[in-house]
Amino acid sequence: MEDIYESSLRAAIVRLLVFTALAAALVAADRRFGVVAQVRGHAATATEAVFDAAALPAGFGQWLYGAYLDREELLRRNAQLRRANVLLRAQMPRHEFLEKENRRLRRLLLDAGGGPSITLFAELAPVNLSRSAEQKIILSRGRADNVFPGQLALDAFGVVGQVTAAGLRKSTVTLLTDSSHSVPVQVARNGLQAVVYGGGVRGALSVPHLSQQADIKEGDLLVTSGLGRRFPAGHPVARVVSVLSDDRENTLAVAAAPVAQLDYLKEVVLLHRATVDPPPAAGDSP
Amino acid sequence: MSGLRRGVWVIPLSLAAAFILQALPLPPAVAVWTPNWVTLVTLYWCVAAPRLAGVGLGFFTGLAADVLEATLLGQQALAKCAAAFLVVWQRRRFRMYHLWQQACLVPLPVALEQLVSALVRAAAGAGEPDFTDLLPVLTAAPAWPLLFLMLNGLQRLAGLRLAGQ
Repeated sequence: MEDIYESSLRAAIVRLLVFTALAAALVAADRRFGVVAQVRGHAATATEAVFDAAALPAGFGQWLYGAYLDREELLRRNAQLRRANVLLRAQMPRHEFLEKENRRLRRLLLDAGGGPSITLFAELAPVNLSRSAEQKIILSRGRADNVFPGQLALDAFGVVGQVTAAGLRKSTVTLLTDSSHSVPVQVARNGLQAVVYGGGVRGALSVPHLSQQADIKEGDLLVTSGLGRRFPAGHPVARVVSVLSDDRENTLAVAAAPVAQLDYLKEVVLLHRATVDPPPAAGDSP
Repeated sequence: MSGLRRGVWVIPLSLAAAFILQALPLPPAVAVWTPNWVTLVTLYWCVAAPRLAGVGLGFFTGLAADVLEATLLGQQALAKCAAAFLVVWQRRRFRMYHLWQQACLVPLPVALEQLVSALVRAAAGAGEPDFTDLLPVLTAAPAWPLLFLMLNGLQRLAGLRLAGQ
């Protein structure tokens, strides 16, 4: 009996070592973004059913709530939405005009990448992620709805993050506060170029590598610069919270906070530039 | 060891249920307290069915959790592997204890899991550990007897024989 126990323990130790090596290799591969993103997207497709099952009770609750909601309340909300719709529609032509003008001006500035953005509306999947994945959210849209890695996610206020993995019907958005995330920005006030990095904690962003002479101050709005051609330009990202000067490094320690309401996300808008073609895997997956 | 055992299906079934339970949407204030169901179920099978479940099961449930929860690929795989090993190693002693004693001990492998998870994340530069990481360690204790009785009943129902019997 003791021998069996000993040998099975030895086998367990061997397995522990093998799997540890395997896991370490996976972690290393995952940090090299893109290598694993595709695989991860396909693997995520296989596990989507879990999210669907987990969403059932909440869905049922919502259905109950809807079924028992006051008729008066529904009518009131309907009227409210209709008013909002009229308002937005009224503003649309002005926005179209501004976008056209903007594009014309951009062409003058020789920025070829100013094409219109394609947008897609996506709800958050009602799921609970483990605490270690706090800087990610899951959307209930996937490759089947033309979501693919690299798309920028926005809420009504600003940039939320970007799609990092897309399953068939679900996708993962890495929030801009994730420590692996960075986005090129400019100061809206004067066009100063910078890069915003995630702080790893919700609500914290940093803007490193600015010289002490840089013109940036508390309250400045940072918008996407479109540099690197990855994101469309001009979307609000963050507001500068504090600027401290680091005399040793001769740089500024700039802290910023996202303008998007990351704690109250219910749905996001995904966009990608028309000029950037989706990767082949997104368009013609079997 | 004769072919596929009777009632083996309860293992994947209980794990699937654990994954769903873990993904259940809850208010954030409650969600941070949820025990790590997947780990606890994995550990249960490591204790109850050592020939079927062990370090390997920990690895694969961890990998599934990584994919599902969008953590670093391999992070939870490694963490659950370590937790499973701790239990496999001390399995015989663990099985001797009363349920309440087991409940007192089960936070240990869960703590190891959280520690490994935090270390991997820190090493990969994917975020700092948080004090909320400790909450599932605390809730593992009250969750264990509940889970034990449920899974034990399920196991008997399915006719999966206990280890050593």
